[in-house]
Amino acid sequence: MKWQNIQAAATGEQLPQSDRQLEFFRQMLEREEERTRLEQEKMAWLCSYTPVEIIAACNLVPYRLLAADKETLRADIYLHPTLCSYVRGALENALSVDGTTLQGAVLLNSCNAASHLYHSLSTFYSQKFHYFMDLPHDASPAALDFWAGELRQFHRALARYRGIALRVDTLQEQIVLYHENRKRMAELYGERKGEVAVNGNDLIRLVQASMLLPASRFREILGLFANHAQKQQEKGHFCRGPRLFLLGSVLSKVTIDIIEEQGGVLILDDLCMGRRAVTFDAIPAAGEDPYYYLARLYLGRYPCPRMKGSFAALDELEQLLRDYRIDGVILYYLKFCDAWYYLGQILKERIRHIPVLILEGEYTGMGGGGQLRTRIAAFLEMLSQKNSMSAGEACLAPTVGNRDVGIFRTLDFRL
Amino acid sequence: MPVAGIDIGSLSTEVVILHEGKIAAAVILPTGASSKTAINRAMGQALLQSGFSLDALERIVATGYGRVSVPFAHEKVTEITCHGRGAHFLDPAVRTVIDIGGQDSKVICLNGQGKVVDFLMNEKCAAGTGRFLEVMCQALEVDLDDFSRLAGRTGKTVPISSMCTVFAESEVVSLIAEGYPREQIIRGIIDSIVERTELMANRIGIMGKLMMTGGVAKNQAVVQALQEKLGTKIEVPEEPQLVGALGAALLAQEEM
Amino acid sequence: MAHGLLKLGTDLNQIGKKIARGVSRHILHWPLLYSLGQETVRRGLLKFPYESKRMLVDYGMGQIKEAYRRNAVLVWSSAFSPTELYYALGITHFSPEVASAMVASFGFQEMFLKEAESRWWGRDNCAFHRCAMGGVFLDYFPRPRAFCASTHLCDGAVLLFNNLAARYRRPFFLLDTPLKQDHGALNYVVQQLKSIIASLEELSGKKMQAEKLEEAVACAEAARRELEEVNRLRRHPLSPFNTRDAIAYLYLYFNGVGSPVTPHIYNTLAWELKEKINGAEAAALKPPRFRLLWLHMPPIYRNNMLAYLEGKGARAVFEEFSHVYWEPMDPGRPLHSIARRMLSHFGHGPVERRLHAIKTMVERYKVDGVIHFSHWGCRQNCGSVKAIRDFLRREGIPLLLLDGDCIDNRNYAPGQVQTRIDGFLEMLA
Repeated sequence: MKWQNIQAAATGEQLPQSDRQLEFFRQMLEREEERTRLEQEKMAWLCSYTPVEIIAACNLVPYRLLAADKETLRADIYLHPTLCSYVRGALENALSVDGTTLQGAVLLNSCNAASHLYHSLSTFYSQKFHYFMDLPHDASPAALDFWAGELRQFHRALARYRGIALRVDTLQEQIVLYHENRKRMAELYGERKGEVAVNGNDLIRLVQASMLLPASRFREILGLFANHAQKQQEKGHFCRGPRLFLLGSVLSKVTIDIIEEQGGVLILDDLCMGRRAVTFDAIPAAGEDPYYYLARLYLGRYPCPRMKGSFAALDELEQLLRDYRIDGVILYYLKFCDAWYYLGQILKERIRHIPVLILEGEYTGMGGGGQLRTRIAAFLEMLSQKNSMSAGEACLAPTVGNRDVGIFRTLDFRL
Repeated sequence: MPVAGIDIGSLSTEVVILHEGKIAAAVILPTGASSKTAINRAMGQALLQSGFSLDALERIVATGYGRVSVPFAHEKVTEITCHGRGAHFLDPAVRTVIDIGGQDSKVICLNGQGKVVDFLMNEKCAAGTGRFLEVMCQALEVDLDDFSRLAGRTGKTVPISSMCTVFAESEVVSLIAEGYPREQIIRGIIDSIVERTELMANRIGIMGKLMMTGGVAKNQAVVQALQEKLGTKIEVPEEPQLVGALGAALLAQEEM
Repeated sequence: MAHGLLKLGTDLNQIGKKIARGVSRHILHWPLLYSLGQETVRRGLLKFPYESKRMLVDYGMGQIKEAYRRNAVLVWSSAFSPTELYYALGITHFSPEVASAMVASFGFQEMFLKEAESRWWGRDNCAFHRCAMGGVFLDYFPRPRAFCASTHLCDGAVLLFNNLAARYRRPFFLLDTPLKQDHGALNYVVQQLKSIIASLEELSGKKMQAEKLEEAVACAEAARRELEEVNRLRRHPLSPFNTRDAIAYLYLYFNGVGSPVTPHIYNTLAWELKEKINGAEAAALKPPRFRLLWLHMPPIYRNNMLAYLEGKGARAVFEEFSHVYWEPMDPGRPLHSIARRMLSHFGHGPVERRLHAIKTMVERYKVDGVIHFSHWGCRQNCGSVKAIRDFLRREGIPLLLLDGDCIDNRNYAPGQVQTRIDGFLEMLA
């Protein structure tokens, strides 16, 4: 529930029209996801670099293996406690009843944890099809060639498993379908420099649905949602609160909703289940091999921290913060997510003019919502105080510690 | 007009009632198993002390982990903002507050008006917090008051290596079994708390005058060791546990 | 008053520390220091158990001296990167992970770790990397012109180098090493080696000569053969050379492949081991009661784990990192050979490869049990614990899991480790 709704409920007011509509969308997504979960033939995937187009071209619904929102009692038998909770939760999910409705799983060499998950899945998980792909760390021409080869081999293997002919035209159809969906989602993300009518957690919710539903069905829902968003914008029903940028590892929607619930407005995110998964695009050259095109498409997108190019993208990030008038940055990484440990550290040093909240925890939040709520609420209190601060506030010189790496050392309160 | 602040922590619950800029009542009670009971008892005692009725309180601000479960609160504010506000009231020159409470510890940076400009909280685990001290005291069979006294008696330390409360407890038990004197083990425990706090302080960077609040601030040995580690004087208010509730009451007063 | 004195005391303390740091930093950056060190070693002023160890220290000091030399074309390279290229090009290289190990072996790790942690490095990532970052923040290390890392085994290495390259704003050359070993993967690695060579040529302003590369690969091959000979001698029932002795020599595996000195040192070592087994002192040697295989590295800071084992009559006769896993290299096909070496690491790729290698080592060195040291921040290593346990149980080989950290001594509790070792040895008896 949104913060405003809690207040509305407390004062006995009716929910505003827009929120009723949002509630309707959320419920619809839940329903559709439940239906896919029960009825469709699915192939699980984990990393957002997985070529879902190929899975769809083999008449399977590409289905992102999310982590279970429960204790990972079974997964902990197989996976070491120093692997992140997403990987352990995903295994728990696959080993539970949910796993039996899947045809198998496609994993990538995303990180050490993902490789170990692949081993556990292929050893302990009863489904038939397991596939492992070598994802390059770079987007060099040699890497593109290599990745294109991997994609071709994967398509061949999956088609063989399905007992169907490998058809390039079916693949091309799926490429077009997914491209259109991504493009429309990217458009929703596009216009957020001014005031926004849709809070970011709903966009992330939408992106998550796109990873669970058949693309054709998702396209219909997306159309409805885009209409709603546009109406809100036209009516001027905007979200109020500090403008936030959320970065980090894979997070559950429960965790992300806490930010909205506490009254923050998510303007942008850099999550592989959010903006990063939809804002990429490449135009196929005439007569281009579809695998090479896919390789170019995926390796050319805004990089995950595990990729070589991710640290170079830092400069781009600073520009984003300015352009979108971000008040605060929330960096949430999963405990034991190395990729974010190493990037987050330099991020914290680089972002100097905007407050940064660093959170480290589990996929489902930090040991119960309480600790997470307190930290986010305090951060938002701090941001709203900052706005009301008088001009010319002096900052004292440090006496202990590393003043140069903090965030408020050089702050000009007249921002 | 009287106002109240109530701070429901994991170990203790505090209430402060302010009237015309003065403290009319201050109560500290253990939270125990039910925060509801603790809230009602603490508020009841505070009302008795001050002579006001609940209806007479113009505004009530709740803070701490149990803030969501206070039925009569007008507003809920996190303990970060409240500790900052309370510390500023007690000494306007304070720029950094170290609060070590029952289940977590934090470092808060303030500006000249007592507004929070940056803060840092410990990781999920309870190591280095009040709860940690309590568990360790149980393992050593000393009470908290003796803790400081015993620590002062030795310069020697047995390092406690485990980061986690649960593991540290088993380590302390095995150190007792190995025959180390209690005083040295206590110093080891204090050092481990101080080390964690020092890391947070270094990460956020300490500026200006430093105040320590929360229950652990009553432990002189910890304060002393932290002072030496950070190389700066630490001010401890008379009732460090009340600072959160006081801050909440001050915020209630400002809101009016 | 008391507070005033306290403040003054701590202030002086802090200032003193600062000066000490400044001076030590200055001295460390001073190549003459290492020349002096080399002289000391060469004149036999220091005692070494083996002549080869003296050669090793001399060689290491020479490399460090080169790295600190002003105007050196210095590349920071990750632990598993293709060092043959640097030797062929005459480029100096420096490995931050190896530097961390050195820092820990001298007992300075706490200062380094704390410095990194206060700058937002968490305590759950690899302490080799965290300690190295501490060295970077404290400016103790020679400053690089470029970075070069390979992706195999360790996610952290690529991330560390990415972070460093962004920090120093220097180019970063990546060798992406796929988990597969097929033709496509081999081709991909060869392509990348070519482009790394081109980048290094541009950096150093020197052209790579084909015969130099062949020479480096020939040296690497000679080193491989000599190391195999050393390992063959380590199979001897008397176990003339254990893990405790061997740790220092891992420097050659990480830094010296491709150098002409490396085969020479290994050769000397093999000769010394032969002497030891067959010579006059052989009678004084006692075969260990239990022969153990050590997986991953043992802790490098001062600790008594291996000594404790020895005291109980058990000995770590071999360690995972000394295993020769790569095929003979062909100087006629240098890039191909290097690529094969990169791709064939048993710790890379599906865990089955590591299991297979462990089995080979268990049989080859006739061990009675295996100790797996789980270095806290190492996902690659910790992640395969379950698979290793299941596998060794099937094979009927006892396994002891020790959790700990190779660099960070702050979590080291000797009592706990000893209890585990005692229990394990009772199990073996």
